Amino acid sequence: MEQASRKDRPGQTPSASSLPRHSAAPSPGPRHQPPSAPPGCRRGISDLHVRDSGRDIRDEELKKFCSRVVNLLQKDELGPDAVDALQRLFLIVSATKYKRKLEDTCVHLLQATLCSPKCPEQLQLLCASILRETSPRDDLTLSCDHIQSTRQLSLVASVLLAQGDPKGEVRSVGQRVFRILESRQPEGPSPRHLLPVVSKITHLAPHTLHEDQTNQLSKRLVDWLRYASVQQGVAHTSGGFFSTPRARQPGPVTEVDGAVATDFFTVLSTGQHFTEDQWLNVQAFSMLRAWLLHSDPEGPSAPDADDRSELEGSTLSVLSAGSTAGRLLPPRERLREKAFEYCQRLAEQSTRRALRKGDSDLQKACLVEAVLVLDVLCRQDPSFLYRTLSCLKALHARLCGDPARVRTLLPIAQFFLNHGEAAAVDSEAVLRHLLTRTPSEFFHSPMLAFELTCFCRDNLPLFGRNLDILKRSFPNLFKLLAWNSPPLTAEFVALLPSLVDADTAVEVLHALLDLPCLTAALDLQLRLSPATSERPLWDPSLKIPSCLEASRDPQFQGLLQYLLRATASGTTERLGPLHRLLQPLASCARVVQCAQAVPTLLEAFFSAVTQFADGALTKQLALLLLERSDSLFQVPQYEAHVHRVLSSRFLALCALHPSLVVELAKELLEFVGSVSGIQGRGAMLASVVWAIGEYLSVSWDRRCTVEQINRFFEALEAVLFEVTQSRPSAALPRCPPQVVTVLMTTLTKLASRSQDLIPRVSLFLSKMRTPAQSPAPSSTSCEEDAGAVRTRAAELLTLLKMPSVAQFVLTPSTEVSEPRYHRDANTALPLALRTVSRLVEKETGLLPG
Amino acid sequence: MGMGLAGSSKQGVFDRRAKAALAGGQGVRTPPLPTPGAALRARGPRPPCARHLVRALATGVRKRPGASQPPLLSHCRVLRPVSRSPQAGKEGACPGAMVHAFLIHNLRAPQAQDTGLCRVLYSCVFGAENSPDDPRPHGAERDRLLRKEQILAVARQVESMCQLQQQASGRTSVDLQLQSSDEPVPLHEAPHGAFRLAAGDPFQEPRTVVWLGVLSLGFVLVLDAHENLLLAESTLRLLARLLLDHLRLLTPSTNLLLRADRIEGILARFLPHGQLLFLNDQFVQGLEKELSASWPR
Repeated sequence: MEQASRKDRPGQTPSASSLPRHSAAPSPGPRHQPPSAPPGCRRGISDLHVRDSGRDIRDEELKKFCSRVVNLLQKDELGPDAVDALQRLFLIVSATKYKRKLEDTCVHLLQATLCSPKCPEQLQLLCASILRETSPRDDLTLSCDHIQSTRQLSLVASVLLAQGDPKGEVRSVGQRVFRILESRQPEGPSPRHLLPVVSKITHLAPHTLHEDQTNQLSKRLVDWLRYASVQQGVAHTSGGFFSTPRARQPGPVTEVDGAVATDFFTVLSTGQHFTEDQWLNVQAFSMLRAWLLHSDPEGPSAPDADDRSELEGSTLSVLSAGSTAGRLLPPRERLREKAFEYCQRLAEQSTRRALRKGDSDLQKACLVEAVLVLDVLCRQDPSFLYRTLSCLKALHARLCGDPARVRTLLPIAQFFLNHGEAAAVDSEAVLRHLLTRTPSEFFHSPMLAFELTCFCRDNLPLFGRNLDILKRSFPNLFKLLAWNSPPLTAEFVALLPSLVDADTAVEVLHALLDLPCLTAALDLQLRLSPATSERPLWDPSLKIPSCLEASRDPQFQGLLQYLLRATASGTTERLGPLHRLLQPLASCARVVQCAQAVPTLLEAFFSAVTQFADGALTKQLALLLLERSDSLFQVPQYEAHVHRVLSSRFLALCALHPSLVVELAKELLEFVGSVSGIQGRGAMLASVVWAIGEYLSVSWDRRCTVEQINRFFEALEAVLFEVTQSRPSAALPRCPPQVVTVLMTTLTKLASRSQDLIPRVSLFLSKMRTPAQSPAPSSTSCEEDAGAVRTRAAELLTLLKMPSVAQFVLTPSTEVSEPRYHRDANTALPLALRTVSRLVEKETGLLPG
Repeated sequence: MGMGLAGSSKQGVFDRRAKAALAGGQGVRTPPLPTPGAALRARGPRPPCARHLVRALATGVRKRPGASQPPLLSHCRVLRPVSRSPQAGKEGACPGAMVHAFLIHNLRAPQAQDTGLCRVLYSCVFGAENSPDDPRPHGAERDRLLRKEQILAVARQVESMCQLQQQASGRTSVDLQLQSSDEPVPLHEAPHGAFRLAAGDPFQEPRTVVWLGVLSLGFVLVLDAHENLLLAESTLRLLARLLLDHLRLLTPSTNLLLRADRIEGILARFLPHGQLLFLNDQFVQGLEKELSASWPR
């Protein structure tokens, strides 16, 4: 069989290559059926048809196969062929997302086999997985009431819990599991396999367990957590020939560094073999945090949380701290007490130098969990706060200098954020360290970047007066984003509104536009720094010797430092030279990915900023848009995508503050005048020109003068002339017709406001109306474009023949948006529209061609 | 060669995969490291956009599988903000500290986007997300379909995250595939990462996805939003290592899909009911011995 499979040639259909293994295999007919139609035809109705007919055939085959499975499962001895058949059945049911109809007897036998006490584990697992794969199902008769083996019970529970609880399965499993846990027979089944079930049940249905059951389990968790044996377990002899009858005396458990354990057993204690209660210790700690959260009936989010946090003050906690230890506490409090001791022990154990790599990883995970558990404890019982703080401060001091454990700083910072206020400890220093140091050193770690970003996002409501630290460290946070844009873009879209305020908006916008450049700079930084890992973190196929060389230039050094700053500087630098320096990196995939994320981020930025921007900030931002539209890092497609956002956002800003156009008259004239770069900036130019046409009017701003209108008119006229009449060479791409029509419309609008200009614009428009003298247009789309321009020119020309109508149509007063205008047939608008359309139609009818 | 490459439609692939199993043939093997030529041989309609389908299922509208594949950079579309407050997520009725699902799927080379399908080779959902009450008949079937689509949606996102990361670090899939199967796979250097799934897309609850790409296989844990990520990450590496070792997944003729019992055996020990375990090295060895005793290699 193996031999045959190796000979399979790629591309061969498996049905052709597969050999029948069993005589009971279904007839070869349907198996050898070729794909019924070429891929292109398999759409629409034919697709459904093929699928349905395919399903019918399969049902038949499946029926046969099921009866085979039934035969096999009815035998007394379940052998390898039963395993093989069940493996296949699992594949059949799992390989499709649609339902597979299994014979009732087959389902029944699967359940019976799963519950049979003498069935080998392999078959039980297969039965359970088949039943789980086909769930939720209505015909399940499975029950865990009479199962004694805990491993088997756990499997049955996995099937029942997969049903989605339509018949209260979760509760019944929960009650059964608890009955076994309560029995507490020393030789009884080990509860080791049941604790994960309890965990899952409390997760799925938190109110399944009664109060006394909860207390009971809390008591037992205390035993397992705190009083597991400190002697190693005895090797399990499987009864083979070589097992020695007298077991060696087991030694004491050891710490991860090999020393003899100094205190009680934890998950960081090791040995050759483990006792059952040591296994339970592992299970108990693994489920501890979830259990603590579950067993607290008030819940940390209870309405009295605020009152409690006031009580969390210093005196109360100090007084109660010492007094709890001696008395016999109720189970829940006792569990908290023991959990606290356990976490402290873990913190102590994690200072040891682990001999194995796996254990050193576990130490980090344990530290994180210990801090998370301590956090839960302090939220539930403020009396822990005082004791925890000293522990965590020491831990923080120790971990700050340990780059390998940087991720454990996050839960500590979380703790200080949660409790800093109550404990009268300022979390500022912890946050400052986390946000200013960590991102610039570890931005290249995908997991740290993800965790830190989520930390910021999730804790926004908790930052309080420390929000300023977060806001100021945005350049650092952007490094995470620049390096890991695919998974983090969504997080930053949510985070951005909180990072932006009136003070940082301009700097944030610059930073967003420079994000791909930042990616390139980080790449360069990594290449320049001494190697930290065997595999380079950058793209080694991209060689940039000139970049590396030039980056030593002091001019670039300064700019690089500015771009890689850790906190907001309040200033902006022109990064043009840096763009040119980093140009070789612009094609690298990471930079391109980052560039693709920027438009989304810009949208998020502007949605946030328009919520609070006043006139001055809007003006600054509008200026920035004009200025940056031609100084972007040259990444393929980047400029076009960014311009699309910037141009629409420029119009939106103008709509918010229409007097922007008058206030920025000088800059807008400059922008319009520097039309040389029209190829790249068509979208931007169109929206600027449109904004001029819309808002350069006395009705929007009293300061608007006729001279101003005339100046703009002349500038735009020159632009229009340049883009339409004098094209230096036919090789240059044509100006997009949108820009041409927008220019014409704006000129007409301006003329309607300063009527001396009407003859000029009419002359121009009539020139536009006649077909361009350019050589025969090459393509139909070109012809369509020209046609659109001509039509628009004709329309505008007609409008201008009646200046008062033109003014009304092109510069409607704000009253137009009032409902009266649209209801009353005798008021201006409908009348005017009719007049205009009649005029326009008549005129178009007269047009040649 | 893998059957998926010859598939002409999603259903078709499943048909033949299942048929081969029925026929008692070799069935589907681990996606064998695809050869460039094989990639061109078969082409089929692309799978439906899982996000849309999942959403449609959740709202009760069955959308026809269209020809749209979620764009590679699906993260770049505007994402709707999650209205849940972080505290609500953290301190809700069921404190999240479990694994919701584990899956193995194939990773295609970025250049081979048009060929084959992103296929989930194995998935295990621990418990069921409480489904919204569905009074209509076939509720159970729809629930199952929804679960499968959710898992497929995760697999697709992981695949594109992995491809993007590989491209960014300049590692083409070619140097991934040339590795001989005899060498131990350097798991600590394998591409890995995490991302979040907002509530309702595709799961009801917000989830965190941790993934690890090993050659042409993606190993994925779908976690509750506030799980211990360090532990999840090392558990995922451990699971990947065990699966590679015990199933010899990287040997060309290995058949992953027909060895569900072994995968289940590993999960039952190392990730029971989705509970992440704090296992030190000796505990891992103990469990591994137990495993080897049940399934001699």
